[in-house]
Amino acid sequence: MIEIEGVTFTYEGSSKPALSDVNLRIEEGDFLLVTGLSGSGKSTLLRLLNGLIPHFYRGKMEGRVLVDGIDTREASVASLSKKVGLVFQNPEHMFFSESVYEEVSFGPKSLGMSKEEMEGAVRWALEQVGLWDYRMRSPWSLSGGEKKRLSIACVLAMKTDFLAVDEPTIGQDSLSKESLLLTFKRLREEGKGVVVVTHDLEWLDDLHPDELILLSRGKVIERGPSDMIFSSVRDLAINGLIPPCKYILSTLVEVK
Amino acid sequence: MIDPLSMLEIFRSYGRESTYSKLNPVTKFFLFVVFIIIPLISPSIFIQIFSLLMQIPLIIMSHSTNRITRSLRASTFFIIILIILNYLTTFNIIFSISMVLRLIGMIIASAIFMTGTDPAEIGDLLSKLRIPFQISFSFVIALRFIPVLADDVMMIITSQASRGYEIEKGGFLERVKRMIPILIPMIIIAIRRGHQLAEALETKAFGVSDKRTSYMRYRVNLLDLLMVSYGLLILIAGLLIVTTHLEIFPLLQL
Repeated sequence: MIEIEGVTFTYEGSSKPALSDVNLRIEEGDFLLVTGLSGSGKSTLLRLLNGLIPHFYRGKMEGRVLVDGIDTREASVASLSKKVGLVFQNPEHMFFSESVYEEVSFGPKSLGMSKEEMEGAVRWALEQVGLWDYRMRSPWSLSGGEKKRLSIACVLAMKTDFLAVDEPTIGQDSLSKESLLLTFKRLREEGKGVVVVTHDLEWLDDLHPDELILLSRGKVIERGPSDMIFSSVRDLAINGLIPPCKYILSTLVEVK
Repeated sequence: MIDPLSMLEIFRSYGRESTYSKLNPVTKFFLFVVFIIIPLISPSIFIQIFSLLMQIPLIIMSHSTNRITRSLRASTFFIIILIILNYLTTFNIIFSISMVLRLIGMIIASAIFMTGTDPAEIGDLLSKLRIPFQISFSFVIALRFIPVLADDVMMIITSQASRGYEIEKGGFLERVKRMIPILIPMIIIAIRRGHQLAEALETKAFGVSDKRTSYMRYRVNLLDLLMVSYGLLILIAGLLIVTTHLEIFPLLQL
């Protein structure tokens, strides 16, 4: 379980907090989506989950984050990575191997898995994202959507209890978005705790999350089932977000 | 602990306006040259301390006290290594410390100049010095991309750390080997960005005309005159120290 208790974080050199008094509880099997405008604190929230804040990003942090009861301030990012996998916005930042297979095996090797366990994990992760047939190709030769799925596989192979993904749909065509949707649906069935940060509300609605969190200026302003939040079209519009088409249409019908 | 990002902090510009950043670029360049020359005129530790102390007003003017302190603290490991290596080759501890102070002084002078001067100002300055535009532009672009590259390195390090990778594990050689997953993505991303930049420049007619329009005008005000006088005084004082005072402090000589 991940518990975020009253966390306020201000980046060094900044006068305004990136996150203000955030409280959150994520359990295994939860499917959580976080949305908000650029600069609302979405990525900062993800960095809290595996201890990148405060270990790599300097600033003032109040409150605490507990991963299975361990305070992230007292554990290294490497040790927390056994429990929480984090997929970054730009997949190219992690690629350095000659083949897709080697790239995916990097995480399990870092965690010290046995050869058999590692091979099983790599195959499972690549099959989850539909890239098993690409295993001998160079990561750099893949398309943008495939690279994103590969970065998810790299983290999946580590067999973490939680998976946090930052902006999976940025720069993706509709086909890649569909593939990602399938991947997340499969992960949901696997019972992993998944946190997805996105501002692509149309795509997000198709995932049917357990809970949607709306962030604005570092604060959680709405949380609850996505249907409920999307139905308040006016509130979303006030926060600069456009809800999925079907909710706009139903609101228009109601007004009429 | 080696923290390369904190070490590079010294060269990261925050784009904040300071008294120093408002100076004429020629004044800033003159002060930079002065504080590069002073440590080089003598290896004496006395002149190195003098050079560092005389840079304090510039550090305050450029609002970079915290950054420089943090960066030097992060470089402690390298500073100690440099002192030891110097001592092993010269067997003169004062000389070793002096050489490191010389390096620190020159790094601080470069950092103040680079972070307090807009790259466009440096480009204009180089043009005034009759340096061909293509060369000055390449230099300016290289400067502009330092913070971008630093951000990329940060993202790469955090990406690999999130995959359970520990960069600071093992002895010195092991740590060097462990840099591979950081260096490869960094080099590939830098080369790709270079290609993208070249294409973007081509689409904006880079190099089509020999004569470029320049609309920036720089004024010389009272503070510029004061700072140039300060630089000249430091230079004269430095030369006087080297020629006269060293005899008073024989121990501090070479």
